[in-house]
Parts: sequence; structure tokens; C-alpha cells
Amino acid sequence: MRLTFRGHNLLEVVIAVTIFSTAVILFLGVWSHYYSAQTLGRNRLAAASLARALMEQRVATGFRACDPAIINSLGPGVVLSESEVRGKPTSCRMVYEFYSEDRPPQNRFRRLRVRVQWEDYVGGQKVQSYETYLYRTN
Amino acid sequence: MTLLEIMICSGLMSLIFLGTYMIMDHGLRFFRLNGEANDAQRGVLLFFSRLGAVTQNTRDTLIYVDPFHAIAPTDKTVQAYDPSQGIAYVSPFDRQNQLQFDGTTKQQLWQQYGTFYLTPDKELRWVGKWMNETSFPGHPVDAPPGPDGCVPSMKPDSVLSYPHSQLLTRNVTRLAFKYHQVGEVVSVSPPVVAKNSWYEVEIECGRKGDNLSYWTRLQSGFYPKNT
Repeated sequence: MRLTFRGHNLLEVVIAVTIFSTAVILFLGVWSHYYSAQTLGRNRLAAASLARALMEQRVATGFRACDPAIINSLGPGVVLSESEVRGKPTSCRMVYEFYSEDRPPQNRFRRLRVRVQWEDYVGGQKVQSYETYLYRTN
Repeated sequence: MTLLEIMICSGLMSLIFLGTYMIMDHGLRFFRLNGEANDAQRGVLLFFSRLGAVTQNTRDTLIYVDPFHAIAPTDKTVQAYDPSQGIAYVSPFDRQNQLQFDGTTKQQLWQQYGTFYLTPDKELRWVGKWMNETSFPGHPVDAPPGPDGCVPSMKPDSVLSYPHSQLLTRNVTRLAFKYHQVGEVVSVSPPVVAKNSWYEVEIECGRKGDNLSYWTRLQSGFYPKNT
């Protein structure tokens, strides 16, 4: 008895596999962009975290401890960072500064600003800054 | 389709699926390790910012760095503490972050001991003791004992069993400090001489050169403002 249906031949399978694998490889190319984005995002996240921590610490010390004469004389701080994740090295240099400014006329408001600036392998300066106000109650 | 063709097809498909799996696995591992590196980096930055803030409010002579070695005031050589188990300091702030003053002498009181220390589990922790919890309540500004002289001692190797410590970061493989003297040449060209004594701090997390792990090293500097 002779079978009447036809199956796929090897050539069809090879073509199908080629098309499928090309699509998969193109799709997985997204990972390489994802690596770069994650590395850059890590620096941004670290800068934001540092800025928040600095701001919280200053606010916790209260209005008087944030006197512009004290705060603005401290100068910038520098953090150098080198990392390797699965053998991929990256480096980053962060500079942070804290500013305080009294707002006239009665100087009861004090404007606090923290600025973190960093450079990474993409180049260019990136900046993250936070600001808040303290109000003198006594 | 012959058996040979089926085998070739299966082989090709298996190779594709294996390749896809390996790439996905690689990506997901990277994602997880990147998250861990990120956590470590943020923990270390928190440590740096806290260390910078507390040391600006302490005094050079009230900082204890492990392992202890005396620093001669005229010695211009760099003093290295490498590896170090931690650093301890005395702070004028109380639990409410307020300064207090002696009623009669009007001098500012030292109110807190704090220690950043490494545990045997490679955790970086902080623990604080306020003066009313020690045997040295309310020391005027000129007479506080250092972190190694107070009772109980606040040296990094003495605080390991103290309760209520805060975890800052995990997987710390190296902590080191360097002390730089006033007048030390920081840079030859252009010529820069240190106006204040300052500490350089370096911390490493993870393992370098391990393709299945992460490694991060951060460096910064801080100086005690009240010398």
C-alpha cells in the first residue's frame, strides 16, 4: 500500500531552522543592549542613592547644623568606583557637593541642595541633584 | 523523511534550543549579578556618606582605626591600615541628633560612640552606643576617652557581639584605610600639599577575576574637621 501524504524534506527543514535561528539571534541581540543599559543604570542608581543618603543625613542634623557658612566650606567629596560583572569591567568617578542657602527676608527658610556628578564610559557628565527646604521653628 | 533526515533535523533544533538556553541563562545570571553588585555599591556609598558626615563632627584623636598603630605627629609617611576590621569614632550628637552642652562650663558634650566594622561573615555593620549607656556619661569636649578606652570598648574587634547593629552591605572582601598627614605632598605636578590630615578609604566587595561573580572596589577620602 502506498502512502498518499508528503512530509517535509531536509532542505525545507534547514531553511526553516535558518529562519528561526536568525529570528532568535536577532531577538537575543537585545541582551547586549540590555547589558550596557544596566551598567549605565547602575551608576545612575548609585548616584541617586548617594544623593538621597547625603540629603537625609544633613536634614537629620537640623536647621542650625545646615548653616551655609559651615556647609558651603566643606568642599566636594570624590568616590572612585571600579566594577566587574562576569568579567566585564566598568569604572565611574563621582563627585558630590552639598550647598546650603538662606532665603530672605527673615532667613527662616534654608534651601539645601545636593549635587552628584559622574562620568562613565559613554562619556559626558551626568548630574543628579536633590533639593529641599528646612524651616526654622524656634 | 528518512530516519537520517529526522536525526539531522533533531540535531539542528537541539543545537538551536541549547544555544538559546545558554544565552538566556547568561543574560539572567548577568541580571542577578548586576543586581547584587548594585546593592553592594549602594551599601558602600551609604557607608562613605555616613563616615564622611560623622568624621566631620569628630576629632582626629578620637578616631580609632583597626589595626591600631600610633601615629607620630611629625611623621610625614603614609600610615596604612590594610586590611582593617573597621573604624570607630566619638560623636557629639545624641539619639535625636542634637548637641548638648555642659550646664556649668557650657562646653559641648561628646555623646555617642560609633563603630563601622566587618564581621567574620563579610558583612559591614554599624553599631552605636550613647554615653548614658556606657560608664562615661557626658564628657566635656576636651576629656573623652577614645573608642578603645571607653567601657565597654567600641573597638571594631570588640563590638562583634553587640546587639542592635545595622547592616550596611554584604560580601565585603577587603576594607583598608590610609592616613595622610598635614603637609604631605598629594601631587607633584601640579604641586599640591595637604592642608588637613585626612583618611583614604578603600573597600572591595565580591571576587575579582571570577566570571561567575561580581567585584567592585570603591575609594574615597574623608577628614575630621575638628582637629
